[in-house]
Amino acid sequence: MSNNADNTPNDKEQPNSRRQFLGWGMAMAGLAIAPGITLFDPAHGRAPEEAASSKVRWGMLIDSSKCATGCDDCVSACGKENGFSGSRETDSQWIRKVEIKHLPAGHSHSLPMMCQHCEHPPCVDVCPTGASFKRDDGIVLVDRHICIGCRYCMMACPYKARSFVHEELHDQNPDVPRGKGCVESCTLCVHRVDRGGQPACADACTAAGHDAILFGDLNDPSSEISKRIATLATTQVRADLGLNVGVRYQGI
Amino acid sequence: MVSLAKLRVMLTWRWGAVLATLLAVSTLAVASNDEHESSGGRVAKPVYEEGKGDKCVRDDAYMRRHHMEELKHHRNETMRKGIRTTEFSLQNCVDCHANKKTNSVLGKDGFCQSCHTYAAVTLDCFECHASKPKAATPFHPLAGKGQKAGGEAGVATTMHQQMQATPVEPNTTGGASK
Repeated sequence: MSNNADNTPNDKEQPNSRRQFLGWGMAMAGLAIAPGITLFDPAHGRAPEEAASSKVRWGMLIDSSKCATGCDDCVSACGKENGFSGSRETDSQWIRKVEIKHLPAGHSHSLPMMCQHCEHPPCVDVCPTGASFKRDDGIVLVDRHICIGCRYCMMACPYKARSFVHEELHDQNPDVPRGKGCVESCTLCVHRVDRGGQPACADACTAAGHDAILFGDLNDPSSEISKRIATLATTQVRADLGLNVGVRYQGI
Repeated sequence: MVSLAKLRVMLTWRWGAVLATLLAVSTLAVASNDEHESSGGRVAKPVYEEGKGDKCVRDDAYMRRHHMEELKHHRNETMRKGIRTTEFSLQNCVDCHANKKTNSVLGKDGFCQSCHTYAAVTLDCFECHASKPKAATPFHPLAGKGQKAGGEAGVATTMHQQMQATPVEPNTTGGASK
C-alpha cells in the first residue's frame, strides 16, 4: 500500500492500516459525489448517486387509435436497444404487437403489449429467490445475478410478458446485460430512464411520427401522462386482477 | 534396519559437507526457477497492458484484493436502487482496461481473463455483461445506426448487423390508423 489513496489532491496522509485507508476511501467517495450533483443534472433531476424514489412512478400511456396496424417500430427499436431481433425462434420478446378485433362490429385495434409494470406484480409474488422485484419507482425488473431460471414468473404473469433466454448470447449492449438461463422482460429501458431518457419504444414511436406511446411519471399530477389519464378514458388491461398496472391504454 | 548410532557414525563430517553442498545447490536451483517462471513448467504470470489514464479508482493492492467485493456492492446498488455512479461499475472497468488490440477484457491477454486464469478463478461476469467498451454511446436509437458491433462475428452480432441493415419502414397505410 505504498501509493494508495492518491486520487484526491487533498489526501496527503499515508494511511497505516486498511481500516484507516477504507475510511479515507469513504471520505473520498463523499468528496467525489459532491460536485456530481451540480455538474450532472439529468432531465429527471436525479443525480447518478441518487437512488430511485417512490415519489416517482414511471408509466406509459398507449393510444391505440394512433398505433398503426402492421407498424412495428417500437418492437424493432426494443430489439435493437436490448440486443435481440426476434428472427430466432428462441429469441426473447419484451414487446409484441397485438391485433384485437371486435367481431360483431368488425372494429379492429393494434397495440403493443409488454410488461405492464404492475404495482402488485404477480411475478414478484411467486419468485422463489427474490430475483423478480419492483424498484421504488415502479419499474419491475429481474435481478439476473440471483435468477435461477425456474420460470415461475412466466407462469404467473397474466400478460405473457416474460421470456427465458435459451441460448448463449454475445455482444450484448453494455447497458443491458443479458445471458442464458435467466428470465427477462421489458425493463422500461431503465438504463435510459436513470439517465433522464425515455424507453426506446417511445422514442421510436415519436421519431416515426405516430406519438402513440407517452412515457412519464404517474405520480406527478403536472406530467403530461397524468393529465391525460385524468381527462381521458383510459384502460388497464385485465383491470379485474387489481394489479394497478403502470402501462395504460387509450381507445380500446 | 540401521540404528541411530550407526547412522551417526556413517555421517562423518565429510558426508555432512557433501549433503550441505547438495542442499545449497538445490535451494539455489529452486530460487532461480522461481524467477524464470516460464521455464519451470509453472503457470505463466499474467501479462496485461495498463489501463487508460494515470491510475485506477483505488491503488493496485486494494483493487487486486477487493475488486470483487466492490463490484458486487455496486451491482446491487445499481440493480436494486438505480444508483449509477461510475467509480466501481463494471462498465467503467471495461472502458479503461479493454486490450487495445482486441478491444476486450477477455482473451489470453485480456485484463480480466489473463489474471483470472492465473489465479484459477471462474470469471462469469461476461456471460451476460459486455466484455467490450460501449461503441459510440448511441443514446438515441436513431443515432446508433452507424455503430459497429465489434470484431467477433457471433450469431448475435450478425443478427444485429442484419437488423441494422434492414430498418423496418413504418407502415402507416394500415386500417386502424384513425
